Amino acid sequence: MALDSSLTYENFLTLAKDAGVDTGPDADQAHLQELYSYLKPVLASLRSLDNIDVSQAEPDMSFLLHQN
Amino acid sequence: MDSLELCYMSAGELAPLVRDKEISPVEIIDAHLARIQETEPVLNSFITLLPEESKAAARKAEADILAGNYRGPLHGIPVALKDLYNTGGVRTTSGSKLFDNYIPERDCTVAFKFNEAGSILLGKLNLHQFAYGPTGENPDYGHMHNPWDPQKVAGGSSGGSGSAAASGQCTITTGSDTGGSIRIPAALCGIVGLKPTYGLVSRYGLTALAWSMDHPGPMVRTVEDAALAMNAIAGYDPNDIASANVEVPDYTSALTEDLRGIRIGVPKEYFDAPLDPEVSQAVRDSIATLESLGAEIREVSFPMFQDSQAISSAILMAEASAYHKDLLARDGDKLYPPVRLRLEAGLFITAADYLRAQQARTLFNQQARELMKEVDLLAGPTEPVTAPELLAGHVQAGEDRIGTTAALTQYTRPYNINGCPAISVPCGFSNANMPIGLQLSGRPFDELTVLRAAHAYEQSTDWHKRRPPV
Repeated sequence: MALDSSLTYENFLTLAKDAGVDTGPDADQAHLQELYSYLKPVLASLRSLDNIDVSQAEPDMSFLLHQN
Repeated sequence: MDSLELCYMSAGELAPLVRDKEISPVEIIDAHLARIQETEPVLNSFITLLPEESKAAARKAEADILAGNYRGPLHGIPVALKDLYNTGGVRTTSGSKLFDNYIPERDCTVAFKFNEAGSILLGKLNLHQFAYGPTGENPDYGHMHNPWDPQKVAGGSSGGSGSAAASGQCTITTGSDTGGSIRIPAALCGIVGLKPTYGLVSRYGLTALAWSMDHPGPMVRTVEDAALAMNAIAGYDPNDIASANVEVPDYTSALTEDLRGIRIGVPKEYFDAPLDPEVSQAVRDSIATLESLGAEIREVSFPMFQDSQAISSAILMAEASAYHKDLLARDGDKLYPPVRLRLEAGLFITAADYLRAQQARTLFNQQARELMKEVDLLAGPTEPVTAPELLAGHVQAGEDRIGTTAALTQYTRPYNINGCPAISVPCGFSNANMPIGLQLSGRPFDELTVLRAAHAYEQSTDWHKRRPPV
């Protein structure tokens, strides 16, 4: 869901609250709008990950680079 | 000797003079402090300067050397550290006023090793706040400025390191590189920046940005100085979970000028990406120079280069937000707004998305490894453009107008994903007299070949001898 470029503002507020961002009545509404505007293209840009066939790949283990 | 000449001498040039007692570390430090006083109002490279401490250290170094206790080529040489390297007894801000009074109890491993080598800490260098940006913006301590044109960015995140080394404020500086933060300012300021193999230089005592992609490394004016710095700081550190227990060679042994037998791949995708024509030409010319020095040049294909932004962004954003989550909740409104936005945006990346990016990273690294069976090095531009104007949101790269952050990290991120060594070395200037960088990357822990090619190129050109007008 987080990588969904069709994220609505209402869904954004729900996710923001779950993520620990202050969305209460005293929250900075202008900042929330700015974050929403910033977030949408960022998440959309990550959708390209969905086009990579990762079915045969395990997550990278960076800390083991020197053992390869 | 003329004070300015001292400031532009490399460690490799200064070392024999210090060893033979022809120059005192006191003279060297005094010259650099004067240079800093002269240029700092324009550049803003430093967050903390240590004039009295460095003078005292220089006097001690002088006494030690006179007593016959010369420690090696960095003895008495000025070093300045990016201000996210912990220094015992010296404040370490990470570029945020929230840490204005933070004084670590002990040195990070790199600072400890430089101290053991006898180098002298001049101060702590300015950076993009928390190292989270490629331009060198910092409202808390002032933006960094490019010595070649102060209206342009020094690059980031290690912008103070780039401007200090380029302007002769310091001989050896350090950066940390998560998406390009050593190589970006190196290219934009016209110096040498080496991102070593992941795990080769200890991250212990550095403020993290993204654990799996953070690389400390040197930023200097010559390839020889990068090798000398690596001799001092590379090596296993049990305090760093990612530290590699590998044999560390003498990196200066790479400094030959013969490239026969070296195969250099040039990914065609690098030149299909948004790229300024002046930069493209300078890099193509530099590759021709490498060929004239004996290297075999091959065009290669690196299709997953196009995925590097998405893979790197997902991993970097998630890790950075995890690292700073408590700070963000407590003091988010005190952060530089663009940094706050990036950190908050990372909170929206799910665990599944993060792991998908890590799966893609596995495929990316497999493809890169296959490619490196055909060649010894990859070559291309470090940056698609020269230094942008301060606070510019977009840049023009050839026919493409793209976001500044995306542009400046376009060619650097791939080597944070695969952890391979990558260096930026000056390879020309634009018509507007702004530096251009050539990037060379090699196999894991094969810094010797990277340094060999970079040094041979450097010695056949005079780009590194030019001085900025500041």
